[in-house]
Amino acid sequence: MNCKEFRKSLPLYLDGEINPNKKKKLDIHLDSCAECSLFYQKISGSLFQLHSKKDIDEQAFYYTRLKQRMLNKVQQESFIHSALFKKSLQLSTYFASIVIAVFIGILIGSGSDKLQYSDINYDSKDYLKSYMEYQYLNDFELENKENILLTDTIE
Amino acid sequence: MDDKILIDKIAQKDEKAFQLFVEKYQSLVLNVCNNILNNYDDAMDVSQEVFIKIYNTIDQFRGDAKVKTWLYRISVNNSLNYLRSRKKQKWFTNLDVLFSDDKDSIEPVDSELKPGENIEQEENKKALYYALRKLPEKQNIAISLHNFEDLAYNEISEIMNITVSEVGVLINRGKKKLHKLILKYYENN
Ligand SMILES: [Zn+2]
Repeated sequence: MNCKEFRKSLPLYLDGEINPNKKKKLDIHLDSCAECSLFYQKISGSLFQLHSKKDIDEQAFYYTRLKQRMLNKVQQESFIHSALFKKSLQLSTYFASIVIAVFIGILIGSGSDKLQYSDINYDSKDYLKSYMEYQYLNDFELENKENILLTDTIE
Repeated sequence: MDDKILIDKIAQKDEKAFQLFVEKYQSLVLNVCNNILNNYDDAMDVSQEVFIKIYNTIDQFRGDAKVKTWLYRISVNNSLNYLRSRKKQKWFTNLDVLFSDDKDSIEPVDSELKPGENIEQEENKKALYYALRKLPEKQNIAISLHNFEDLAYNEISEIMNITVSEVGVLINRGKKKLHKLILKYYENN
């Protein structure tokens, strides 16, 4: 067995699922090859750590730290709440002013429309009126002149 | 004081009862978190969040369930959530790693050298934690609970809400994968 074959079979060897015949070959290589032996040592060293319980000792002031954390959380939350309240107040003010601005805009827009419309109407009516009046006046003038003429002629 | 009485009192926001409860179980919670996270500072943070969660949701505790099982479950879930959020963070902060060809680059695993430990042991742990982190979540949890917490398969099945045989499958598959991952670690280092 060479090093390449050894490395290839190593996972099965570690799983304990290798047949006895092959295991023997691997063992022989392990004994004779320094490099593979070192490699195997490293791996089994890591696997050994899996069986060494790693306990953290009792922590001093654990509860004190926990209480402080809870307190900070409450303060943070109330800060977020007040910040959110301010933000929403700001937002609603912005929103309200936009609505008012738009409303005023519509009011002005529609108001001037009406004025323009009535202006035109008024103007046109006025024009007609003045035209009619002018016509009448002319008629009167004409009549008057005719009358004068008439009277003149009558006279 | 009996756990049931403690829990009833905590539900009524009894501070003293909560302190007793925390002092009784801080080691358990801290160690479960540390065994999953493999980092003391993270474990400290997450374990405290576990107790805050317990304080806030104690009325959801079913009287017939075992307190320890419940504690294990919350500790495991909070640790997993922490790992997931950290993975997401890494995705965003290490975009260069994502786009580089070296996808199998080995992430640094935080671990401190404790007095009496040599560099070899330190390297052994590094490889192990690297491999554990690369395992699928459930395999990692099952192996951690079994090996580091010395829990039996039936206890793990209660914590993880799966059958005992599923626990066995997770541990067997996880160990095989672990062997391959440790092998890969040493091949690259
Ligand atoms: Zn060799």
